[in-house]
Amino acid sequence: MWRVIISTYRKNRIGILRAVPWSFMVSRIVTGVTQIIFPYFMYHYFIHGNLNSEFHEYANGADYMTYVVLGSALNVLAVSTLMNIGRALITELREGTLETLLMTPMPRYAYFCGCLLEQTARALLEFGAVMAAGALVGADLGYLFSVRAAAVILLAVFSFFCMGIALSSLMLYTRDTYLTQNTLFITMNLVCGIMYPIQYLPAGLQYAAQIFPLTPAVSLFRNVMIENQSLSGNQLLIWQIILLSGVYLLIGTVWYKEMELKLVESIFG
Amino acid sequence: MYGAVKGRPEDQNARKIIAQHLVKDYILKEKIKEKSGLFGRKQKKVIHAVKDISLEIPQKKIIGVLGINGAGKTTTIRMLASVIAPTSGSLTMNGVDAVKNHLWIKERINVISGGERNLYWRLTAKENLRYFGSLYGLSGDDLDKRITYLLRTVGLEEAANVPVERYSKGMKQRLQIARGLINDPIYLFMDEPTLGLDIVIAKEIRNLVSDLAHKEGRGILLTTHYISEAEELCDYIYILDKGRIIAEGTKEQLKGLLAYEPKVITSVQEPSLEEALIEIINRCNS
Repeated sequence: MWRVIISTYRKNRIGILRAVPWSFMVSRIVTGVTQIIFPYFMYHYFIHGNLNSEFHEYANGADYMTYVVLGSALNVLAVSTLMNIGRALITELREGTLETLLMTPMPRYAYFCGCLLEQTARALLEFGAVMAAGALVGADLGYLFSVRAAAVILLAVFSFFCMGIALSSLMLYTRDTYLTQNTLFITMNLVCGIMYPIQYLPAGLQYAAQIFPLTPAVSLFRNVMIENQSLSGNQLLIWQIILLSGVYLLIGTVWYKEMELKLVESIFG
Repeated sequence: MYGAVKGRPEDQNARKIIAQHLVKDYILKEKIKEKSGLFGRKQKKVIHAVKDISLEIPQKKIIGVLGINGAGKTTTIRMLASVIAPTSGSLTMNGVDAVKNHLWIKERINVISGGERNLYWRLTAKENLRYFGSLYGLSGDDLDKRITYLLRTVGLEEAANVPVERYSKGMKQRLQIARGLINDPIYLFMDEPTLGLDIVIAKEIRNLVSDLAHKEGRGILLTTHYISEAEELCDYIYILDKGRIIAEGTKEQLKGLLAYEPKVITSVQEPSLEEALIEIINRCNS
């Protein structure tokens, strides 16, 4: 199991570094910084820092930039994990290596974990860029280097991974990566409380937002980072994340097995 | 080791793959355009890719599967390699049920296809082999020694640290063979392994294939469109057409099938295997 995880990590890492040695890293950092610059300009030059008291109430007293930086940082991890786990197999299919992989007796989860490890290492670079840019524009990130924050990030990445497995099946089913992932990412950006509290959304959308693990994860992350709340005081959010992870993992596992069979037959038949 | 044997244990005396009455059907959904309305409706159509195939692949032998395009050769290989499950029929390897024990089977077989896919082009030969080796549970010194041995065997020692994207077609094919041998398989399925290669490299690969079976004792199933290749290498040949075995035997036996039909012999020489194959398929279709 570990052998497959580590070797898949290495294989993906070498492939990425040889494909785009340094420009890829720069693009990751630029993307992260842009996610902060845009709301910064909006906040300072468009609405001139005028937010009503409702916002402060919804945001646990945080200022707008702190709120946005925390949301964007976790969103970066979510998008990166979902994208890379979701399209891992379809990328193998496009590169012509899927058949050889499926012929081996390797456990599929070990393969996905290897992909997760590699992409998380890359996504953390973007996460760091968002946080650094956030600190430069005045976001309060004092509790970032705490065990609690690390635990929340780990839990969040796990939940994104579980959703990624389900997304992988969906991508194999539709044989599409761009439309599937971009529709999902835009929806998540709109309803999961990245740029604004979800309380501003219509009631129906607020309920819909709860099906994404990103929604409780970003709330938990903000609670820990803004108010230094304990994890035990956020049990409801933690359970919601675990429950959603379990559901997505179950859907992904059951569906994946069926999809792999169909995929193999449709491609190799 | 990923798989434990379910059902009957391995039989040391039955060193062969036995496929009996393998059938593979695919359900194809075809869109039917309605006279009115925006969306068409889908109709299911059953495609019989393999209708009834029984064959044996003993160790130390090269078994050829010949046939025109669409005869069902690749589907048969994929069923034998446990990549796709047969719709019906039985498949055993050394007495072990292959359908129930597909992980156990996958550890002991490998497939080598012609063409340039199935390799990571950005990785070097060594990195490719290390990755595929790890997927079979190999690691450390054992894996390193195996990689060195395989690269020497296929003549890629000097290019071991060069990314595959810089390889020629022949080098990629040789690396494919090394990849197919990484788990030291007992049985090898080779799907047109010399496809598109020049005569020198094709000859080298044929020599290697012969050694793998006759010197190293592996069972090999070979599909090829090059009849001379089958004539040179195969100990026994199955001829497939439209998902069925229409003839089988040694190359002499297959040629002998035509001896009873004097009209097909156009010269005083005995018919070639190619002539025999074409005649058998034509006769079957008429």
